[in-house]
Amino acid sequence: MVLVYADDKKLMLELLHKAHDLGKETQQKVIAVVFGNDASAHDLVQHGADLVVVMETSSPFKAEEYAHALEGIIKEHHVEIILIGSDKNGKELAGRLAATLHAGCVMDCTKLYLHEKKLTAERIVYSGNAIAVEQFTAGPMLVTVPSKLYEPLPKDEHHKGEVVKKTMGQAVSPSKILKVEKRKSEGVSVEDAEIIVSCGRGLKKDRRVLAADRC
Amino acid sequence: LRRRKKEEEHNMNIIVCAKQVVDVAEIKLDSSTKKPILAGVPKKISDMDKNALEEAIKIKEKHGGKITVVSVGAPDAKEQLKELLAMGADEAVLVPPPDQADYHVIAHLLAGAMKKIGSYDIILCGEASIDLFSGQTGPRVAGLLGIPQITYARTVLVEKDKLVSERDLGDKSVTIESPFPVLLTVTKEINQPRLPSLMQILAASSKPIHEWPATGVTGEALEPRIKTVDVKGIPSQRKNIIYQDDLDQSVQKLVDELAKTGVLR
Repeated sequence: MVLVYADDKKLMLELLHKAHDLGKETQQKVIAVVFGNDASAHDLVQHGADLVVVMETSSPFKAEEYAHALEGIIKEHHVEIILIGSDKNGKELAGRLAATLHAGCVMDCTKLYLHEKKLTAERIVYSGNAIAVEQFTAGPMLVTVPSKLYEPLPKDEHHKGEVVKKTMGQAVSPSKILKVEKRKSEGVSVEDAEIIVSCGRGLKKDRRVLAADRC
Repeated sequence: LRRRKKEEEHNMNIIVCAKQVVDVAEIKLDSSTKKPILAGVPKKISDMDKNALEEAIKIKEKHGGKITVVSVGAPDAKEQLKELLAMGADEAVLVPPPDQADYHVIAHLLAGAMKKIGSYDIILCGEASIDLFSGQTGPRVAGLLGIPQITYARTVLVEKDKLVSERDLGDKSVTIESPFPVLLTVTKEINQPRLPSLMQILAASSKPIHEWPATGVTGEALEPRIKTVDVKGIPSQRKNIIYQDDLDQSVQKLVDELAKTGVLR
C-alpha cells in the first residue's frame, strides 16, 4: 500500500496523484489519511484514494500523537511507501514516524521515481549547490513532498474507494498545546507567487529596489 | 548541607546535539560537472547547533546543571567540539559512525549515547543542519527515546519542572508546555550564540571529550535504510540568445521572447 497524508487539502490532492502513479507501477493500493472529520473523504476517493482512513479527533496537530496513529495504520495495512506533505508539521511528523518505524526518510524531495525497481528520491543539498540522489534499500519508505511538485489528478466520479472511520487513541504525549496564534503575514506569500523577481546586491540603492518592486 | 543536596537534585541535565559540517559558503563547484568539491572545504559546527548550545547555556545560567554535547562524527570533529566547550558546555561525547550511515543509523547512535549518559531533562538540537538541511534528526531522536518533541522553537522559558516554548510555523505560532524530559529543535532566531573569550578557550582544553565507539552505544549493528547513490551538480541553463539586429528590432524580439516564456505578460 501507498499511504499519503498532508495537513493541507490541496497538497493532499497533489500527493494523491503521485501515490496513484507509484501505486500503479508497484501494483499497490492508495490509502489517504485524514485527521479531524470525514468532510473531504469522498473527494479524496474521487481524486485517486482507494481507501480513506478518517481519524476522528478534535485536538490540534501534535507530532507524537499523529505519528502514533499513522504507525498503527501503516502496520495494519502493511504500507510500504509513505508520502507526507512537506510543511513544518509534516516534516517533524515524518522524522518521528521514521524513527518508530525504523524507516528511511527523505525530506523535501524534488523528484521521486522508481529506478531499477527501487524507490529513488532527489533533494537539494549544500544550500542549493547540489542534488543528492537517495535510494531506499529497505522498507517502509518515507518521503516528504513539497507543494506544487505535482498537479492533482482530475476528478474521477467513477473511482471507487472505501471510507473507514477510526477514533484517535488516548493521548500518548504529556505535552500540552497552550495556544495557536495566526501570525501577521509580512508582505506577499512567495509560495503562492506565479512569478518571482529577485534582485541582487548590485542594485545597491533602495530606490532601485523600489523600482524593481513596481515592475 | 541537606539544602545544598536538594538544590543539586533540581539541577538540569541538558544535552545538546551538534554536527560537524562542511562550511557551505566555502564550497566550490567543479566547472565542468558542476558537482560540489567537498575535499578540503573547511569544517565547522552547524550554525543552529550553536543556537541550541547558547540556549542550553542560558538555561544553565538560570537553573544550574550540566551541559553535555553529543555528536556523531569523524574523529577530527574533536577540534570543533572544543569550541563548544569554550562557549560553555561541560563535556562532549563523540561517536564516530560506521562507514555506511544514514539518518536512521545516526539517530540510533545519538539516542544510544543519551541512554548511556543516563539522565536528561532537556535535549536541544538545531532545527536542521546547514549542509543537508533535512531536519529529521531531532524528531527521530525524540521518537526513539519516546519523549515529547517541540520543533522550530523560537522561544523557550524553563521553569522548575516544565518548560514553555513557542514554535515558529511561519504563518502561525504554537505555544507548547511540556514536562521533562523533552527534546527541542531551535531556529536561528532564538538567540545570538556567544563568542568564547580567550580565557574560556584556554580553560576548555581541560574539559573532557569522550570518544565512544558506535558498537558501545547501540549494542547492535545498524543497517542504513537509504543509500546516497549520487550527488549531482545543478546545471545552470542559459539560452545564450544574442539579438544583433538594429536596436528597435532587437528590442521587439526580446520583448516577444520574454512574453513567450512568460516573464512578461
